[in-house]
Amino acid sequence: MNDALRYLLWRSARNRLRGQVARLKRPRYLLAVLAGALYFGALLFNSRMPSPLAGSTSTALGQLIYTTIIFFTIASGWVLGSDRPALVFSEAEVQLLFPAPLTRAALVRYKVAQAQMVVLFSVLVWVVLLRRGGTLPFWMRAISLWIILSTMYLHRVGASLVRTSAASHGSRGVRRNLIPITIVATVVVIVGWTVVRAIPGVRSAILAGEGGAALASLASSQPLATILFPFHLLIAPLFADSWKHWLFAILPAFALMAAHYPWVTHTDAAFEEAVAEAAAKRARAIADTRGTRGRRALIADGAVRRPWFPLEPTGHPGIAILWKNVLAYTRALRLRTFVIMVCAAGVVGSAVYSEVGNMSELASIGETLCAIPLVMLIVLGPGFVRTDLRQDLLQLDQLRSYPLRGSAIVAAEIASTAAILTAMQYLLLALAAFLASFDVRAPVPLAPAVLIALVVLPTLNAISLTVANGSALLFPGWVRLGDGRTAGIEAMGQNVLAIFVSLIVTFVALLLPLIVAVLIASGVSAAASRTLDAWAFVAAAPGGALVAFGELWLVIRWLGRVFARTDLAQIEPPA
Amino acid sequence: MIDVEGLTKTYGDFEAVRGLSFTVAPGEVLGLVGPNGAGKTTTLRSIAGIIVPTSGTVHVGDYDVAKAPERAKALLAFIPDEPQLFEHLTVEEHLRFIGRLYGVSDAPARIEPLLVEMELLDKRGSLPVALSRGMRQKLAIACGLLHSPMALLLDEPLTGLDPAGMRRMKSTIAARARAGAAVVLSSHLLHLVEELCTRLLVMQRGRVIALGTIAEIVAERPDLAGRALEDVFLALIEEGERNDGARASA
Repeated sequence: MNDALRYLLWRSARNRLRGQVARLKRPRYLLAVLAGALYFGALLFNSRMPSPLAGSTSTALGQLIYTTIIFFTIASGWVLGSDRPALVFSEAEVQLLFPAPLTRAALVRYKVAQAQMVVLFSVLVWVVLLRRGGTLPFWMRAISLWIILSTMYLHRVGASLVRTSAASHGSRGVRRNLIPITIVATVVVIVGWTVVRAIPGVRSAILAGEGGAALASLASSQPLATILFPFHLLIAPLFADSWKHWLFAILPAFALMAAHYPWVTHTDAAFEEAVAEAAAKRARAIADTRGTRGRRALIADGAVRRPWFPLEPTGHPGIAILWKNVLAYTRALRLRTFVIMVCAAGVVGSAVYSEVGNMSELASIGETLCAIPLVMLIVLGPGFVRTDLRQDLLQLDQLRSYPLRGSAIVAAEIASTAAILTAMQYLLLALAAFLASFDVRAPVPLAPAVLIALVVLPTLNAISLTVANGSALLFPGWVRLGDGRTAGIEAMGQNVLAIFVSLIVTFVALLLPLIVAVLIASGVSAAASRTLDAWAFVAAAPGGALVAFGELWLVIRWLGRVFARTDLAQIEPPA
Repeated sequence: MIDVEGLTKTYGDFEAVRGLSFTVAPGEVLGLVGPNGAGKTTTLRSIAGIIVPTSGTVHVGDYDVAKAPERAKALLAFIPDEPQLFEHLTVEEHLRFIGRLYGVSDAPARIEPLLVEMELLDKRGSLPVALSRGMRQKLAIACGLLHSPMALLLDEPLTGLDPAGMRRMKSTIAARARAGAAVVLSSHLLHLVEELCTRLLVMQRGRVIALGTIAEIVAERPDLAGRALEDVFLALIEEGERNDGARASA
């Protein structure tokens, strides 16, 4: 790499690290680090401490799951990825490096090297989370993880460069990249078709308690076995159970990673213009709005979507913040993603119906397909939908100048994202309930399940979003503000860590409401001389929710005071 | 209307503002001038209730900004040097949003004249991404003026405006002052300060080094009589530097 770029890389990393260390002078950060170190240290060294992912790398099913996750992550980069390069340059890099006498390959190499910082941190997180899942020493596992994450990063960059080239050159671009585009399209269609056709059989096997075997059999059947082979190759070192196997597996995995490097660094895709445009937009967003603009927002003038609901001139001012945030979210949505999802759902539905031939079975599969994104929205939704303080905190000056109490602003910001998430979950719930009405073998009684979900979903969202917004307020130096969550496969460790910590805190916050709900349900059952059933929990859910919202009221009042005292110097725009 | 008493703001060992006291009456325009890092923006942010002073009090109207921040903020508008806009709201939606925040019941009727005044009428449906730097500045100012604030705090209000925009902005500020608003204006453009401000507050390293009308300031320094404001300003700063140096060596 060019000496100047190496210097820039090294100095930036060093100064960044110094900044992070200096932050530990604040007791709040120091305490959080100590608590984290204590927990993760225990996770790593105490064999009795339960780890959510430990052991997942020692089973065939675990191997299949990891392989599938990697396949879908990479495939989604091709199908749903942006037409802009995954190489993100800051405005300063664009202004200083692009006019400099540097080759395109040098710029790409610089970015690839820069991403290694995040990759290495992710490796560290994964090593801790996977802990003693196998017989390998931790450094061998770390090397395996480094190869997996680096390859995935390189592939994402390569894919985005192909997409950029194709998008910027129209049909000529598509012709130039015909080989990778054809391969990926063929693979996606084959996998999609095979999986859809297998859904009824796999579902029956899962219900019969033989899901693992059915999935393994599906993955080892052709053509999936051939398609998944490179992914299997990549993941194999992580699952090796001896030195010998590891050495045998690491070489092909390394070769796979090495093959990606020239593909990416010798790209002829003219990414500069798209990258410079993106950097300028990002810089303007930071300078002018200090970060409300999401990475996804590609809004052309004149294509402004109308607000979902009108804003009356008078009424509670907090509603204005909710209105603004809902508008921001809906305007940043990409229609293309929805179209692809709806089309995919239609194709899957038709294919499954042609396989099973009866409506009840189709409805039953549909329920499962609604339940999966519903659960994902509950767990991952607060990380993806961020139109709250995590966006607006960069505009602290403006928020503070409004004639509202700090707690009112915090509550309105949290309510915005909670409303969006709840609306999406209710939609999936309604769809699942509609399908369940056709399912003669529905596993849970429909009416009480829906009634409980109607109460529980907004409560869960409010709790997890309070945790997320509280983290942003208390640790603005750690939480990425403004431009969405930390993107990219290389940052997977960071995102997993954030989700993990958030889940722990959410679980703690849920303890008291859960206890209250169980007590109420037991009381109701005893009073009605009935066994404890779903209807007792229908009666108990509002009580539990009330306790949860009581907790949140106290926390939000406290966060409001933190909001009023937050030091502007701690808020940094995204790099 | 604005009453600042003993305002001090420190960051660790660094004193950004030290013991600042001044008042701004309705209809008055106070010019806040000083070199970079003098504490002008910190002063404006403290008055706006954005940052909490280390000591001292700030009153806007009858309200203490620390004790009744919502009531005090409802009376004022702070327009920062970098316009802060919401990327997903159009020009008109920004004004509707602000109208609701400040409870301006006749906001819809006020929006159009304001857009005309700021020459943004044909951009009412545009998102900030489609606006030039100057237009965004005008929109930020329009947001500040919508609720007819009684105290107007402007940090470098002419940044990014073209000559015609600057002239219009100056007349807008003057008109608001004539209508009874107390205006505090921070700027490096001394001709703007000379033209618009009724009084001047010269700051250096967080301290007041001169306060009064230009005539009053010059009256205390007869050697500066008849000199341009720029010369007066530079002489005051130089003197301040000398005094600071003498204090440090003592």
